[in-house]
Amino acid sequence: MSTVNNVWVWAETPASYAALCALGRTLGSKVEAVWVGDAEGAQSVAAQGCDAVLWAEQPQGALFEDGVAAVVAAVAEQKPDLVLCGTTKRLRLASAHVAAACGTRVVNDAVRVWVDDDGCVEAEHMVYGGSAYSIERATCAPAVVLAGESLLMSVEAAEGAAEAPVTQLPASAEASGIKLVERKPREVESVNLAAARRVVSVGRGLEKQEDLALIEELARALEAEVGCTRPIAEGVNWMARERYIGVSGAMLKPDLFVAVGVSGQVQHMVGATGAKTIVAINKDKNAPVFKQADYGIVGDLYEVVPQLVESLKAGK
Amino acid sequence: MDFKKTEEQELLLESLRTVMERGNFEDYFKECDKNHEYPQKAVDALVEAGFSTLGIPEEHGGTPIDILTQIMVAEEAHALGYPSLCWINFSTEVDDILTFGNEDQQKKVLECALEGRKPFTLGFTEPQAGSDSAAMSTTATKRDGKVYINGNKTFNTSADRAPFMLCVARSGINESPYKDFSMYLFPMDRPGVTIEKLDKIGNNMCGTYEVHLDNVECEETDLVGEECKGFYQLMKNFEVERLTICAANVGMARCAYDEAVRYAGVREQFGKTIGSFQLIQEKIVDMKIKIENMQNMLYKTAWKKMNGESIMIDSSLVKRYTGQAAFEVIDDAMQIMGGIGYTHDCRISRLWRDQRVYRIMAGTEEIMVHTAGRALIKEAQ
Amino acid sequence: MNTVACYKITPDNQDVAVAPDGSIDLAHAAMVLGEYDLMAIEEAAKVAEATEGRAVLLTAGGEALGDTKLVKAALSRGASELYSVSDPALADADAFQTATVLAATLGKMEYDLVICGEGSADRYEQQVGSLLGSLLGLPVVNAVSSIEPRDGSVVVERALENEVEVLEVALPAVVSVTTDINLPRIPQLKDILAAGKKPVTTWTLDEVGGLPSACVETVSVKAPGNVERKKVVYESGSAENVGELAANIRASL
Repeated sequence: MSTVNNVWVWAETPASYAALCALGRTLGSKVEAVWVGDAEGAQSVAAQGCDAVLWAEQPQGALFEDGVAAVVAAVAEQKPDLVLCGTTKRLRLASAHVAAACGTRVVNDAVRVWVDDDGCVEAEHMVYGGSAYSIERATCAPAVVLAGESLLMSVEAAEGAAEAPVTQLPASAEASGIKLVERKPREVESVNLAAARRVVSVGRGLEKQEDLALIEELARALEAEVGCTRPIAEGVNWMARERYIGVSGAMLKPDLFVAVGVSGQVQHMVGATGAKTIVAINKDKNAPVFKQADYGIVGDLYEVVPQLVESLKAGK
Repeated sequence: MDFKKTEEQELLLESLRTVMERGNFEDYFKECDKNHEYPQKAVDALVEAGFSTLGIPEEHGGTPIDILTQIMVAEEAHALGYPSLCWINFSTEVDDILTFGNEDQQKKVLECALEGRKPFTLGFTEPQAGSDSAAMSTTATKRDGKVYINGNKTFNTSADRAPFMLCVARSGINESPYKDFSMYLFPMDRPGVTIEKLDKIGNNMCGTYEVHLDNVECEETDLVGEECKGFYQLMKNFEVERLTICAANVGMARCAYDEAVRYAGVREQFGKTIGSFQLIQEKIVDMKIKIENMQNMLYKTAWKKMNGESIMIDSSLVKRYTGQAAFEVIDDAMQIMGGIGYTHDCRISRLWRDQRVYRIMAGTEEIMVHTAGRALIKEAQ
Repeated sequence: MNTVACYKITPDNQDVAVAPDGSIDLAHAAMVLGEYDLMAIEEAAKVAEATEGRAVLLTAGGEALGDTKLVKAALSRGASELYSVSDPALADADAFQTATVLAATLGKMEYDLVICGEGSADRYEQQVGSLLGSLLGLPVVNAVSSIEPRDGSVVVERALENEVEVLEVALPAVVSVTTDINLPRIPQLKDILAAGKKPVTTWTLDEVGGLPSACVETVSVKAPGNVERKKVVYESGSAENVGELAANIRASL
């Protein structure tokens, strides 16, 4: 496989660099890590498998966003071939700043990144609400790519990397125009569905919020996380936004995905197409979910789920 | 000839679909049907989205709209599973009262209608006076500056919820019944008004009652319009009301059809989908033909009405036809669904029970023959 | 406060058809307002209403922009006016090209706050808002889940993965909003009727500085190969069936 010369990787936390560096290694001969944060962070990034750390200092109390201009200036000056970022909200914005300055766009949420025979970076990502995947090819440098979570989970981070040198980037005078008022913990419990091996997802077949207890019991019996369709999270707000699976929510690759009262619309199911086994419980025999399931049962979830919980417990 | 809906009609129907989709009412309707409860949640959602104001004049807080669009909205709601006899638009009732009622009556009726609450139950049919409305015997007797209503009304939909009754009664002035009926609008909580629920086979979400009127004291100002003109006043919007019923017929037929045709495409028997059998295909094709016919006939009738043409005959034809054709479509849909279609789990069973009454109420299909038949012969001479 | 909501006309994802060779067929797809842009339009209207300002709409795209039904659909949601840049070349414009055109167009408009949706419903790249703010050299924040107007600034909540940042953003500024920031209104008939009477200003691509070249090209758009599923369906929830299902679940773990 072809490679490019210089890959910059950029993440929000030092721990996220190992996978990014490993991915960067498959794409370029030199991998440099961009770090916006404090000196301590820069040191710990240096041990994650990169060849060098380019550090934009984020002074105490300043925002990550205030350090972005320094990175943008460095990209313009040093012209890496690829800027490869983790997929977080901050990096979506930060990478857009880089792209805008370079007259290009970001290829987001890549499920695959490679360098083609002409030395151009290509990346694949989902479009049309999960109905299709689009392959994008960067014809000018730098290519700016956000590596999707599933892609990063699939790379093996190298062990025992040597400490790389840290170079501080000159601070930029450009202000972000954004002032931090306060930070609040998210009121919802944090859940990482993408990392869950087993997931029970619930849809509008559920009649009342109280009935979530039923779903949680099934999840306990399966040692699974609970997720939901978009209407449950954003229509009736019965569950936190973080638990929403689908196009604009979490994309999963679990061993087991149990869809309860889920009709099976592509916007939701695309979040689970990577599952090894899909199980569907729905009272509507015509529900499209059955066409996408390994095992389906036509029945009222209020009757099937309690029985299933009993069966699963009994079989242990 | 343009069969395309206007952009405004399409957008309005999209809004309606959004209301129904966000509400996700299917299970709720099932529950209401089972428990004989009014589907208040769905009513509230439609009212919030402004559907109760359609067709009510702007100066009274509504949004004017043509009859055809009103019909499309009612049809679409029923096609999405909205229950019959629970429709939230009372612009026809409002028009009756705005035309004939006094200011106080107008205010009260408008207030209800804008909120999607049925303003009044219509006191028309009596136990001995069904199709034969001339046999109506409820009386309105004047005494000492008051009016006393006595009699029995039946098949009063929503008599439990409607705050008023619009009662048609004999005035005892003219020999000919039709020239003797007067209309009174009085609150249902007046002394002497008692109601008794009828035990019907369907339309469980809308209660239907017998109403006993025992010396109900009314003011002379409770009279609507002119004395002895009640029957003719009632006739003003009869045709349009009939079209709304037809819209429900078409909608319910579409609802059943959609479900059955989807099912035919996935249900497997003898190793293939039942939709691959021509006996099922024949049903589906004939159901579709009936739906198309019903729609075309209904829309054309509405179009004629909007263009000032008489729909005296058309409204009878379309009432008779949509009542029967919708019944056949729903019945065939049940047949396609097999045993499942006969269970309460499948909403076709509800449609099958609910739609049946539309062949009876607001003019039986036989009366439609009577009204249209005579007129057609006369027209040909 | 004068707000601008940007939206994109996209094919309805429900109508995306897959040809036998896996390519995507959009020929029969209805064009609709971007699903996530509805929240931007709603928020722009709400902010304008709360501050007695005006909300206007801005869109750039191809021929579909000429569909008067879609214009009415957009204008029936609280905004008072539409600016549109229409050119066949914009139908397939990428996020950078679109953002460049929007930035140039905003140069001809007056505004305090530009609101974009989280991402377009078709390509969902979640960038146009961020690129736009950056190109304009304005403060820009993504993932905004609430907006509170102040004098000369807005205080926004930004929903990050593990925390919520409350930020004060100096105006003029650009934000892109989350899909749960609001529940978009359902247009009523009076809104739909009024929408047809609202002013629409259409500019050609040349009038806003033309289309920049794209640095990223789309090589192919294909449907993913289907994972073959077993499709074992039990037709009823009998105890026996549920037992078998449980056994199958256990076996697959």
